[in-house]
Amino acid sequence: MSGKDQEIILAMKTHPDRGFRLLMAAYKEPVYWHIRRLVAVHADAQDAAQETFVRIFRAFGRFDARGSLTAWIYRIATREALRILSRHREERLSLTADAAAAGARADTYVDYGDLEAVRLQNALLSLPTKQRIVFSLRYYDELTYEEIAEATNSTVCAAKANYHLAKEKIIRYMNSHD
Amino acid sequence: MKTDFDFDRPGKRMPYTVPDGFFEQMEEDILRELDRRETAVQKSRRFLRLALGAVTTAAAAIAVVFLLDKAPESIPSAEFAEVERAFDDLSTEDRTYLLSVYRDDLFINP
Repeated sequence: MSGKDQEIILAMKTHPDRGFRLLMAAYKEPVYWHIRRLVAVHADAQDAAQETFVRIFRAFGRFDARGSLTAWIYRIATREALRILSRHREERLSLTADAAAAGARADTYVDYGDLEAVRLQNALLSLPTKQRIVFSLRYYDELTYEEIAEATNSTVCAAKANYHLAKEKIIRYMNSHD
Repeated sequence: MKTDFDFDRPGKRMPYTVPDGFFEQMEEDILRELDRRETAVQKSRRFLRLALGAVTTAAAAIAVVFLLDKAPESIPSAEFAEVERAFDDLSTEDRTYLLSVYRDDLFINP
């Protein structure tokens, strides 16, 4: 566990308000972006990120300090993102200017000018949820497979398998949408 | 597999953006939401305590009224006379049958 995480845990136990501010300073952006990559829409990511931190603060007493703080936080964030996704199960996620214009599940906080980044996100959004989560945690957040297994309540082997499957599918998608 | 696509090209760039000052505001929103929920929890606890007190008081009042109102059970003697008269009106076989049934009834003669 990083020194920063240890400092946060100690502060949360001794001075919860100060500890929580430290935790938010360290994790608010990674948590928001992790959720955003899963749900795509800014307003949904904002809701889920806020709920994630509220839950973290209220459940911190149940955090087992022998585990990874990062994995625990990402587990809560992922659960909140999945809650949002289940609410919109019928709607297909896609980042296209047309979808945004048609009021589909895309929003104005997307830079459609960066074509390659848009295509990569569309490839990510086309993946099954589990692979999308694992790929995002590994590729963007650089979590270890152990942390990913902890965050997704899975095994290291399953995390590795999901990552490699996701990577292959993304390559295939990017090659066919070139 | 064709591996033309190179992850290094987009790297970790994302097309997503956020409103100006979003992350600064996010911290304040979270702290405000925590405050709001804590206040709501305290209010509902206070309400529950009051409701529990009211229910306990009402239950105690009902129990007192019930106990004061309850008179000892007594069977009017006129009812016994009527039963005896009806028994006398029965035939000998019916009386014998009834007596045998009641004698063997566990609930009447435990």
